[in-house]
Amino acid sequence: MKNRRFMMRLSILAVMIAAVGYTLYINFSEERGLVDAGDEAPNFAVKNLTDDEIELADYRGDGVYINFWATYCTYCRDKMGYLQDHYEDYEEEGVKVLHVNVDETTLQVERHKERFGYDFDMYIDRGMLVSNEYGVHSLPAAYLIDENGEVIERHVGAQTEQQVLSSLDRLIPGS
Amino acid sequence: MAQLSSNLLYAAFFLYLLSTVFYAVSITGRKFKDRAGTEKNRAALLGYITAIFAVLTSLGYFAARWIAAGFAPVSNMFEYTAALGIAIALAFVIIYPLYKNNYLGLFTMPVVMLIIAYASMFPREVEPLIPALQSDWLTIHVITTVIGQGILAISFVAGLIYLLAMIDFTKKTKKVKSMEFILFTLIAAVAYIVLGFGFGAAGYEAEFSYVNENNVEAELSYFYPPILGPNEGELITEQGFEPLVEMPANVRSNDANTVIWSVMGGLFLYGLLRLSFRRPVGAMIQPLVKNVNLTTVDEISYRAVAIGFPIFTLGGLIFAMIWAQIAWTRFWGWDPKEVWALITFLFYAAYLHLRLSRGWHGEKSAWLLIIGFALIMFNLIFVNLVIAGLHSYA
Amino acid sequence: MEKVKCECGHENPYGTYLCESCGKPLKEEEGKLANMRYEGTARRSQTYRKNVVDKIWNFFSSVKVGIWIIIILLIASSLGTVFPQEMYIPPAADPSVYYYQEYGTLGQLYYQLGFHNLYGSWWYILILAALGISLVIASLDRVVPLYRALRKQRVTRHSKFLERQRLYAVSEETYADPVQKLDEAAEALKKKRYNVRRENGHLLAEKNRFARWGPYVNHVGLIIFLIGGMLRFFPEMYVDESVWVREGETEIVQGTDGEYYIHNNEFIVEYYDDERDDQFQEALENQQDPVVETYETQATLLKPEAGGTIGSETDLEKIKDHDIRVNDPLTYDGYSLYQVDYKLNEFSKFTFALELDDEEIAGTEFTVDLNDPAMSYDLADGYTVEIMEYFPNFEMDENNEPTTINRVPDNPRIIFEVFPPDLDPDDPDTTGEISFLGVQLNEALTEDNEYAIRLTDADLVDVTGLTVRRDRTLPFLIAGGAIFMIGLIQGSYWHHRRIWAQHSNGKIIVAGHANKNWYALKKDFQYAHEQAGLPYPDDQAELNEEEGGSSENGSTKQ
Repeated sequence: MKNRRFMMRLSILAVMIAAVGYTLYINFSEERGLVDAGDEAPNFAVKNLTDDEIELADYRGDGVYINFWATYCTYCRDKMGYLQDHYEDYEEEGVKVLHVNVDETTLQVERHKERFGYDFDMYIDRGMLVSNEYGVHSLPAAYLIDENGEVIERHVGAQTEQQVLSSLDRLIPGS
Repeated sequence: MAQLSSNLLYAAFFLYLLSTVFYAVSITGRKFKDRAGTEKNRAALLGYITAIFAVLTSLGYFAARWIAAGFAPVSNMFEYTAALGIAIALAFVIIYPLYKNNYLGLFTMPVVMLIIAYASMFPREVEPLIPALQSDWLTIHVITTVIGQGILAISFVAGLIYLLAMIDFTKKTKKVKSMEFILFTLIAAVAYIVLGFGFGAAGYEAEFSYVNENNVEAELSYFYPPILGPNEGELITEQGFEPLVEMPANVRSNDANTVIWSVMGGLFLYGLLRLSFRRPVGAMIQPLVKNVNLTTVDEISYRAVAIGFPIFTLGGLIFAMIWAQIAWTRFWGWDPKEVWALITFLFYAAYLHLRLSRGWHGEKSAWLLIIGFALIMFNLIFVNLVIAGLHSYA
Repeated sequence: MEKVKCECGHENPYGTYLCESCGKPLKEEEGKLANMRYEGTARRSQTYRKNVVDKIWNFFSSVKVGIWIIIILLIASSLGTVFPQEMYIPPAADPSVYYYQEYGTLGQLYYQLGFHNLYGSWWYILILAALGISLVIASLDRVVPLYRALRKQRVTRHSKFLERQRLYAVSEETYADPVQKLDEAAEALKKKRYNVRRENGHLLAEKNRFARWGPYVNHVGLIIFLIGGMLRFFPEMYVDESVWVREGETEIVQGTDGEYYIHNNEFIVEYYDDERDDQFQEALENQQDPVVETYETQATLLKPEAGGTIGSETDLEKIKDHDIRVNDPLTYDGYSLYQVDYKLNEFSKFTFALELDDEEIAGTEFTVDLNDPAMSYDLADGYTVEIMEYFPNFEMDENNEPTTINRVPDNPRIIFEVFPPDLDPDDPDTTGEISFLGVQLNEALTEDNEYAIRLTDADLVDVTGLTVRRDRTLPFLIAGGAIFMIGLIQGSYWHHRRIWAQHSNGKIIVAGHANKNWYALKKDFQYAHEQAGLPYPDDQAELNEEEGGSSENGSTKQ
């Protein structure tokens, strides 16, 4: 009888404290992205400047580095400089870099490409559909997707060349 | 229609005064006995009937203004405060028959008059509704809240009577000081209104040009002679009264000036009373209430909370949340007015627990009820006029 | 554990004040009156203190602790209104400097203490949690014994129990047949809608017992409400996004995972007019700026046809039309779109023309869509204009290079290159004349420009700002709020009243208890007195007072 009451009180208290603890944990733990490490990367389709469409699913089997960017984002410029220098080496090893612009005009993207001499393809996320799905709020935002289509890392903000390269290394299939 | 409505409010004001007089007579005057020998208190009956007429007349004001404006007249400070006065009178008319306590009438009616007079110090013209207020919920939320607050005000009046009757004014205790402070507050409110009407009737207005908090040249009107002048203020109008002190830019100097006038006026009236009678103001009132039945007054005060608290909660929190969800996209946003409604709710909840579970009856309960009403008035006046928020209209 | 046996034979749990069966006081109490709170039953928490769990339990079970929690919550809440919360300061302001700038040292302190985001702070949430825990435990601890006591109560009570009720009297007269007297009383009280029970001629009349459950019902409502509030912290329960839509355009509704699109057919703003709305004339004349009467978005909600990858083009099908206004959101599938903001006259198209020697060259007008400019424009007579750079919202960045702040054409600037018929724009070695155009701006970037580009016309568009919400916690809050109100009304507007009337040696003993509104109970006694001649009881609490006793009638400190 006494024991039963003890167990009853203990379980009621435990449930309530666990609920409060979990709520606080959720509220104050570092913000998790809508799509984050461990999730399956949602498939999407985007077009490049000449209206050719690609899908993320086309790159199953390759590591994919998705870079969300805009012309007005200065950190994006640095990062795209590093990627410009190295992307071809990684492409040979099965790592694809996708540059997705967040819905600026084709003209701006084109001119930006010319101005900085990028020779990779640029894709535009019309209507910000993909950015919304991935929960992109600040730029640059990078998503590392392995050969099985799983997100292995999400990174927001500026990165050094070293950091970009080590991210790309992680994406080499079978590494 | 608008003219009719304001005339009805004037008429109601004098009916409240008349009712006060009847109740005063019923308590101090001689009691009449009819042939059967039972005591009849005709003055009390007259007081109650007058109160009913006063409430009907005030409701006439309310209806006429509703028709004139096209929406319930509860959308700005004048309209809300007047509605609060009417709600207190309405609550009295409903509660009086339960207890037939004439002291309640004697004290409630002046409070109603004070609040209606205070209301009329705000701009009285009919103002157009901004889009956020265009909803039936304006009517539902505000009227329910104001009725709840009106009933809670009765508990304050009953608490006040209780304390006035039981405090020993012959000693200099904290209780006496607190009560004197409450009475001073009421006197200062009277002073504010009297001065306001006085300067208003004299047509006093002073225009200043001054430098505001954003370092921009602006203009400011004074309706009380400037004791406190605005930052780098210069008089535009000729009126022969120069400010004595200049305020910094981030203080609303004309409001501060009004507060100074009210406090000084209050001190003057209070001082005059103290000097002429040579005892605390509470002690002057006490003989009026010497025969009051403390248990009944205590019961009335609690009963008013029991009736008013659910209505206030429904209007001030539940209906408020429903409307906020519709108009402001979220049911709760920690706007100062919302927070102070929550504080009022929590305060009365604490009161109920203290009374029901901890046995706080009588005197302690009465002090709490005075604080409770102070919170309501604080939310009406201070939160609106000083803490800016979404409820900036009323 | 130890039980207390009453002389009537009933075994009461340890800690009982009044015998659960006959009501005989089991503990010596200070006051004259019985402690009727929770019917004098043993509140579990009060009765023993053993281990940590019991101690925590007892702590939260105490009403005193509960009241303290309410007071702390009240004071904490008020602190948050001293200065505006972070969400109400201007969006562009940096809180770390704003509070100091606006409110000085106190403001800085306010910010440093974290009071600028008080209601989301961990300690405020903990106070709310403590309130919730206290509600659960305190209610559980009381409702069970109270239920048992009210269900078990016997008609016949111990004379000591009656004697210690606040309303109590013994008849002066001695009746030959007191039971008949009680029969009459029973009839009278039934007319007053009392439930009357009899036992050996004794009488128990009871009314509105359900009111006793009011407090527990409203606590349950509050607990549900707090659970709803707690669920708010889980991201999947709550969507709060905003979307700006230009007139004539379709945007995806943020936060719906691409499920819905919103099309802005037209945006309207109307102002009050002091002639048409003459009742507001006086107020409108005192206002310098026009007062907005209404603003609305004539919107259409759309849905992409089934199937298809995110981002790929799919056809949209219409779901519904709605004029979104303040107080009238568009609601569909749990989502609501609210009118919250608008922006009038955003640039949408610029029309330019080419000039030579201040004369417009016929047929060289061209229009640039600022939200989708072309790379180049082929004009009449072989003229070509190329856009070299486009900055929708121009600024010079920290390296003094031209750039754009964002995608919104608030301050559009364009660098044009003009190719007259004799120059081939596709030849990489030729350069045309370059000029820099914007609103009130026309700057030649190459020397001795022959041609000039002039801005001849600008198209403007209104943009509506909508907020997207979906709140899956609402059902909890509605249920909680409704239950709370029901409980509050149940406990406030009805009062449990009981009248005991017993006979002993030809005398009639009456006692009464109400948990509130004694006044009404006295009136019922008055009625029974007039109708059936029951003795009218004295109010022992009032007697106490007159004898100079405490006005806290009969309550003992817990």
